[in-house]
This record gives sequence, C-alpha cells and structure tokens, in this order.
Amino acid sequence: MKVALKLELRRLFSSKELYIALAIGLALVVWLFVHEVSELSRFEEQYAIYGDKVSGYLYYPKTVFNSCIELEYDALPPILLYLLFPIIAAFPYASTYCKDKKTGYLKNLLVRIDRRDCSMAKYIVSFFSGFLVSGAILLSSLMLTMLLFPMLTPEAVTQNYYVQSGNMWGNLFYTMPMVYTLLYILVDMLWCGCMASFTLLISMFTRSAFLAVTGSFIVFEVLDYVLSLFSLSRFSPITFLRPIQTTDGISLGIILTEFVICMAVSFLGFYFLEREKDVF
Amino acid sequence: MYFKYDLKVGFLRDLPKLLILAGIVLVANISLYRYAELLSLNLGSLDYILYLTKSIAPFPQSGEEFRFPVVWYLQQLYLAWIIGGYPFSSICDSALIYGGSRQKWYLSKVAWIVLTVLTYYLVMIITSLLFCLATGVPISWEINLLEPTEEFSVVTILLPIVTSFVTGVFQLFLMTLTTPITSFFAVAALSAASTYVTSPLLFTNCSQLLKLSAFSEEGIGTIESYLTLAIVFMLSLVAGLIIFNHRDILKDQRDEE
Repeated sequence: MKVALKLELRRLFSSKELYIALAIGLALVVWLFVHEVSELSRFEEQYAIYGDKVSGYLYYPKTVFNSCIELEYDALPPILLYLLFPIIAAFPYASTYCKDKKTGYLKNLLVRIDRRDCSMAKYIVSFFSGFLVSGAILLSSLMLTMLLFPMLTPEAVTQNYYVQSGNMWGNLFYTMPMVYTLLYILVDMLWCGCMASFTLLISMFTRSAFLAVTGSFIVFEVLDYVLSLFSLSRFSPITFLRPIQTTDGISLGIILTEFVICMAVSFLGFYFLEREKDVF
Repeated sequence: MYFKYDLKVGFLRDLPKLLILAGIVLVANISLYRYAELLSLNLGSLDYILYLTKSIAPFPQSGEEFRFPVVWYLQQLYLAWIIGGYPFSSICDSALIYGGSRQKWYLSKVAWIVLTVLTYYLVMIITSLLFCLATGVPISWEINLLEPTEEFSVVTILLPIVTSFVTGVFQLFLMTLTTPITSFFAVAALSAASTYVTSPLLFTNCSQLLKLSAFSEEGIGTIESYLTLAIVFMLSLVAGLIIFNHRDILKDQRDEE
C-alpha cells in the first residue's frame, strides 16, 4: 500500500495537468484581485473628493470578507471558479485510471502491486488531488486579498455582504468571519476531493479520459439543473459550495450527508466492483 | 468516405446520448408549465421552444440581480460534451490513413458537427412539441414569453443554432490545438462568461435570445452577431485546417498513452 501510494503521489506531482489546473485557478484569483483593487482605488478617489458620504451613502470600505474569491458576490471570476470546480478538481489526476487501462500500464502495475492496494492508492490520491488544488486556489485568494484589504468584522447593516445571518453559520460570519471563511474552505476542499474521486467511478465505464474527466462535471451540472428547476438548489453541491450561500436552507446536515453518500458510492463502486474485473 | 465513417461511428453511436437531452428539455418544459400555471400565462408551443434558449437579459445593464441561466448553460455544455467526445477519439484509427487526406478528414468533422447540431436542436424542438401536445398547450407561432423591442425575422430566431454550430467548429479548432478536455473546459468557461458579460467578442452571447437587440435594448444586433460568427467560423476553420495539416499524429498517440 505504501509503495503504491508513493508511486501515485509521484505521478500526481510530476503531471503537467496538476500545474495547469493550479494555473487556471490562480489566473482567476489574480483576475479578481486586479478587479477588486481597481474598484477600491476608484472608490478611494471618490472618497478623497466627497468625504465619507460617497454618492450619498456612508463610506464603507471593501474588506477581505467581500473581496476574496470565496466571498465576492458580483464579479465573474468566482462564478467561473465555482461553476468549473468539478472539472478543475478532476483534471490533475482522475483520468489516470482510464489512461492506465487503455495503455496497459495497469497490467504492469498489477504484476507488482496487490490490486486492493493499487485501487486504494488511486482513490486516496484522486481525492487528495481535488482537495489540494481547490485548497491551493482558495487559500491563495484569501492570502492575496489579506495583503491589501482590511480585515474588518462584517456589519450586516452596511449591506455589503451577501451572507445572511439566517444562513448556515451566518452568526459565525458576523462575529468570527475568518473562522467562517476557513471552515467553508475546508468544506469546499472536501467536496472537491469527493468530486475528483467520483471521476474514478465514471472511469469504470469508459476508456476515454475525456468522458471520465468531463463526466463527473456533467453529472453535477445536470443535478444542479434539475434541482434548481424544482427550487431544491440547496441540495446541489455546485450551489452549496459557494460560501456566500446563494440560496436559503443550506445546512451542514445536507452537506455532510451528501458528502458521505457520494464518497460511499464512488468508493464502494470503484474499490469493490472494479477489483472483480479481469484486466488481463 | 470520411463522412460515411463519421455518420456510422460518430453520429449513430451518439444518438442515444440525445435521450438525456430530451430529459433535460422535458424537465425545463415542466418547470415552465408550472410557472405559467402559477401566473396564469397563456403560452404557446413557440414559447416553450424559445424558453430553452432565452437565457437572461444583459447584466448589469438590465438592473436585475444576476441569476445564472442554468437551462441555457446546460444545453450548451451538453452539446460541447457530445462534440468533444468524438472527433479525436478516432484520430488514431486507420480511417485517417485509409482516407488519405487530412483536409477531407477535418472537413468531414465539420460536416459531422453541422449534423449533430441540427439533430440536437431538432430533438429539443420535437420534445417541446410533444410536451405541448401531451399537456394541451396550443401549437402556435405566437410569442408571449418574450417582449420584442424591435422588428425581427426568423433569421434572429435561428441565431442559437448558428452559434452552436460555430462554437462546435471553434471547439474542434481548440481540440486540434490542445486536447479535447482543454477545449471542453474552454467552451464551458466561454459560455459561463458570456452569461455575465454581454459582448460580441464572447460570441456564445449570440445564442442567448435575451442578449440580442431584438429582445433587449442593450443587446447585440442580429447583423453584428452574424458578422462575428462568420469571422469566428472562418478563423477557426482555416486555423484548424492549417494546424491539423502539420500535426504529428504519432506524437498525439504517445501523449494519449
């Protein structure tokens, strides 16, 4: 198991896909940062002219908690990032199982390593790749924003924040916003790991890397679509991944239950059913 | 020879995938039906068809809150998924060598995209019409769901189909340049960005009816849309042909492995 894990981790870190996924995510982070800084400087210019009543409103600066990619609510980069997270998470590693089957590398691997160890290592590294990529992107946005923006405790009365006190952990956001942000980043990281693992389940049915990587994305998008049309968006992972909580009724119970179900389905499917198949 | 192959291997093999599209359209139709009942709207069959490509008005000019157009986006995404799954899956097959012409191979894929896009929209229209017949919605050519801001013709209504075709050719060009996964990702990002930013440069805007000047004052004009699509189509086709002519197929095969 240790040998297989070491081998798969080495493959992950030497794959160019990992760095492409990170580059895409970081490009979105930098894009948002530049957008936010330009907005801030425009506002500062107005403040210098009109004082604390810019356009008749009381001056309230942009802060970390409405400028980082997790909590910004009306710019394009966060919309793109959270929409494309299933594919960004699956891109670095999840297609390797398909490629291994197609090229026959899996056969060589199974001569040397026990099948159960191999499957387990693949599953763990697949989860870890999604976890790592999403974490790197979200934390880098938070840290980059912290370099320039003040960490003021959010005030609901300013109406500068999208999170409502009635939302999940809403009170936490208005008392300890950094804890809220970090907790939500952890939720996102776990879910992105889960989405990457889900790709392994799809890999069982296809030899095409394209179908495997994009398949889980399509599954989550279709789910989001069907649920949104019946006003059940709170159950959709694509919706509840956003820390600004764009819909009411999201709860930790929903997030954890779906996470456990999704992990169990992908793990049981991949680990137990796939090992029955004859690769030779 | 190539087109016959694409018809047999690509098109016929992908036909069952269109059943999922029919399911997606059906769910959207049910949702609109419930909405129309709730607000006592008198909608006809054309409204049900146009609803699928309606999307949202230009943001933020419309002054409304940004609501992601899931119905439109998923259809575009699913089409990109179908298109991305075939062309380069057969590149290593003997078909390319057997046919003996890279240009014909590429043009055959373009013809396959035309056929796929037309069938895709045909399935959407037929599903909506069957839904209307089943639920007693009148089959009519009247438009009640959208409010036209200017005179428009059938040429404007056809823009979503033309845009999907051009997007498919653009995706094929990106596949030639990079990989099917990257090209799919790029089209998914382009489509998502075009829901937020209204500009002819993000040409997938042209397939969203509410982003057109015929239905929204801040929208893109029909002539402007066709001009943009023609430029994107020509550039994608020419660049795709040139790149594919110089592509090292053996290297691609090794990379896939």
